[in-house]
This record gives sequence, C-alpha cells and structure tokens, in this order.
Amino acid sequence: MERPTDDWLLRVEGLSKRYGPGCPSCSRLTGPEAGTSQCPRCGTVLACVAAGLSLRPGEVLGIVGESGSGKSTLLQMLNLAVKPDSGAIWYAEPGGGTPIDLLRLNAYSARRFRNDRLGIVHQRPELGLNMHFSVGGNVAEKLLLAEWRHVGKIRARTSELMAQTELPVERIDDAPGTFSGGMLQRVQIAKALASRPALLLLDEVTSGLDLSVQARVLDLIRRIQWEEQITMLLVSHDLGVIRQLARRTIVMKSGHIVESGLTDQIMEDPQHPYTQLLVSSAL
Amino acid sequence: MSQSDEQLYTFGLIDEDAKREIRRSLLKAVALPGHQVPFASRDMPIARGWGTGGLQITLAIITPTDTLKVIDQGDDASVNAVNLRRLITRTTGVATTVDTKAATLIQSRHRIPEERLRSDQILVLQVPMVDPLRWVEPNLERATVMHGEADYARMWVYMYESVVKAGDLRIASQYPVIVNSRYMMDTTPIPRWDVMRLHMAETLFLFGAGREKRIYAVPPYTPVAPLEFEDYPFRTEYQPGQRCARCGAEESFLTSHFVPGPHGGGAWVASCSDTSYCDQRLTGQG
Repeated sequence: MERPTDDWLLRVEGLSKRYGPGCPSCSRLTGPEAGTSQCPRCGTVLACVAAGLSLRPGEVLGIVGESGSGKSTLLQMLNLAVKPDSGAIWYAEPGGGTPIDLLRLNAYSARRFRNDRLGIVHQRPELGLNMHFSVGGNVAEKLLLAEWRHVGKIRARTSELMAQTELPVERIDDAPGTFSGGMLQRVQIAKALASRPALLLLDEVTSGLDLSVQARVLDLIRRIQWEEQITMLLVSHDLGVIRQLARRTIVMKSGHIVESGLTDQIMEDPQHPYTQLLVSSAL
Repeated sequence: MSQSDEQLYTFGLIDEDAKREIRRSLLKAVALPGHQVPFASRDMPIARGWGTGGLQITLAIITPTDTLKVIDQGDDASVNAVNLRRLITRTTGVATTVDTKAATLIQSRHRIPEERLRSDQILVLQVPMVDPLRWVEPNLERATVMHGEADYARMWVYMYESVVKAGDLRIASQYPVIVNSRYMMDTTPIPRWDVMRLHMAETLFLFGAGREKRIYAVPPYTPVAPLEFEDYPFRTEYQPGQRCARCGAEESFLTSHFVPGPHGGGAWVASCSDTSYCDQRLTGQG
C-alpha cells in the first residue's frame, strides 16, 4: 500500500460481518430502509455492512445508534475479537509508520497487537475484568503481558494508574466484586491505559450508571484524553455522551453507517431521517 | 510364567497398535517440547490415577535389553512402585534394578533421582494433572487456544497474586515452567527441588497422564525456565542446615516421617526421599 497522504492512525474499509448462511435476498430485505438487519427469508443477521471510517491520532470518534444497529460488532471487529467476513483494517503507527492490515495478522500477532496497541473498556465490567483476581492483578495483567517481571515496579505502575483514574490506591489488593459499578469502569480504564495504547475503544462505558457517577466517568475520560492525547473510539446509544466527548460522529442503523460528520454538525443539522429522529429524541 | 500365560500377552502387555500410537504421540511430544499431545489412553490393569499414563509410555518404549527402575515418591519399595515393577517385569521379562546408575529406563512418580541422569537413560514420569492453566482457565478448549497463542498472562497474574497474598511464590509442587521459550508446562508431579534438573538435561523426560489422555516431553538439552519475578526469584525447598538423618546428605531432597519412641512419644525425622541414593551413601560410608 502507498504511504497515506493524510495522517491517519486507523482506516477501515468495507468491513462486513453477518451471522447466518445468507441468501440472495439478504441485502434487499435488510438495511435502514427495511428497518431491520435480519433477513426475513433466511434469518441471517447482517450485523455490519461495508463499514468505512478513519481515525486521526488524538481524535475521538463517536459511534451512535440504537440497540442492534451494529456498533458493538464494529467495535469488536476493531478490537480483533470478532473476525469480519470481508474488508480491511489498516493501522499506521503515529509518526509515519508503515500501514499494516490487522486482519492479516496471525492469531499470536493479533493478540500481541491487541495487548500492546489497543485498550478496551466494556459496558459490563465482568467482560473486561477477571472477577477472581484482585483489582491490582487485573490492571497488572496488561503489564505482565508486556513482559514486566518485577513485582515492585508492577505495583508502582498499577498504583499510578489507579491514582490517575481516581481509584483508592489502598484498595489495590481488593476483589473487584467489592467495588461499585462506576469504580469498576474506572478499573477497566486503568487496565486499558496500562500498556499506553494507541487506540482506546469505549463500549457504552456509562450505560447503567447513575447520572452523577456517569458524569464523573465522562470527566475522567475527557481528562485522560486531554492529558495523554489518546485516540478514542466511543460507542454509545446516548447522544449526550457522544456530544460531550466526540469531535466527529458516525450514525449507524440496521448494520449500515447512515451518516457521518462533525458531531456539532450532526446535532445541529442532521440529514438522515434516522439521525433526525435520534437528535429530536435526545433534545 | 507358564507357556500358556505367555501366549496371552504381547511383549509389554498392551497391543502393538496401541504401542505404535503411543510412540507416534511421543515423537510429536519430543518435536514440540512442552506441548500436550493427546493419545488414546488404554484401560490398564491398574486404576486410572495410579500411574497408567507413565505405565503405557514405559510399555510402549521398553525393549528386552532394558534395565528397569520404578520409584514412587523417590522410594523403590513403596507399594505402588513394587506393583508397577512386578506388572512390567511379568509382561516383559526385563531386568530390574534399584540402582539409578544401572537403569536404562526409569518410571517415576514425584521425583527425579538425585544422581545425575545420562543421555542413554530415559525418565518416564506419571502425571496426575496436565495443564498448568487449569488453575486460571477451567475450560479446556479456551486453555488450548491460550497455549496456541502463548497467552500466559493470566498465569502470570496468578503468580503475581501469589506474591501479593503470601509474600512469596508459594507454589509447593506443580510449579509452572516455560519449555524451550514457548510452551508453559506443569512440572507435576515433581517438587520444586527437581524442577531445575529438567533444564538442559542430558536425559529424555517423558510425561504421561493416563486419566487426562495426554503426553508431553522435555527432550535432552532443552531450556526449561520456571516462572519467576526479578524481585521474587524461583527457590527450591532447600533449608540451610538440612541433613538426612540416615546418610547425612545435605544436598538431597528430604522427606519427614514420624518415628515413635520406645517409651511412647517420638520425633519427626528427615531423610532422603530417594531411598536408593540414601542406601548407596550408607553403603559407601559403611
């Protein structure tokens, strides 16, 4: 591939994922116009269809859409946890690295990449944390994967991350089960930041939290983004969350990207009927 | 054994097809040090969990010219060792010995003999639990993927938690090691004392788990590294000042047993776990 003309960190081209055998009618009977991503003829779910996007270093991109619109599938494909049926995910290291297609990495290299360059915060903490290990152990997992082999240094870095994410450092050896929902999201953020990732993926991080806790978590994410200049991809069904954090936004419905642009522009002048409905519902 | 009895069994009890299958698995295990190779574990005339994996390997590779040694917890005379030895000799007719140096094939549970093993010897170990990831991933399918991707972070977290909770690497046996800088392997059933004997050894080590139907191997001159931290290094059970009450050995793995006194009471006495080694030292001293 030729050197990119614009400075991007991640470029996604034609990313598709379906669950089911598929039939000739699938593409005609699904999509935003049909109002469903499930083919009524064969039952196949077209979770994500030909998604394309690009992310610049330090940028925060929001993905908004209703439940089942394919935004989490897209995020999981970018996290290399779900294998797409087709498409490419190009990644170029900041500072002019040679682009690599992440989907061509073997399982071992993909896992290394996921650990070293990606961080993810799940909606449900139990997906991102091992509830049998202590909070410190969970955060340390990323460091141990990066071949840190000094307990003292691991604990020092873990404490630093806990302080950065406003967690009580003295509870480093406590079990995650003794932490509240908002604290667990901060533990996940601390874990995600441990390897100093190039891209942080946030999947509905504030869903299920009460408003005051939600505000604190959002403040924390905004502060970390400001301090570390970390590139983020934020998935949410809540336009309010997207508006607070994301500079650009893409809107998904029934597996398709129906609109993309600057967040302010989308909020002020939505073009697609679904986006108009979304904005009017939020306001 | 009468002529009619001999006709009932092939050399080494198990059928030739089974031996061939085990040997193929052994070849694969040697080619991929530390990798668990599945094999069709046969029913044996001893209960699963009593050494059927080691026994099947021994019977698959033993030849009429071999000299066999069988030990259990380092002891040549324990019930399990005696029974296994009797079964193997009755179905093969090979010579047996308690002298480690004289043996060409050694089947063992829980110990690697104290005397340095040579390149013309093979040590077969009976394995109760195969996978070190069992502690952190009970799902075998997921554990297999973790081995495939060399994803051992969770085991490292387990070690980290061990240090945090206990103040040190408190793993008595089944100490996890990385073999040939690739696969994580359980050193079960040997104690920490013997773990470093696997590293760059001249001998071929074969591990058989009959109940879990797995074989793995550490070929000669293979690097074996225990999981350890820079500030919490791997340590054996060695205690400064330790000494065998029988032979006076200070550099051997000791076991404790209670010796009743003549007028009631008694005392705990530590002696060499490897009885053959201990006896030879006594004879030499005597």
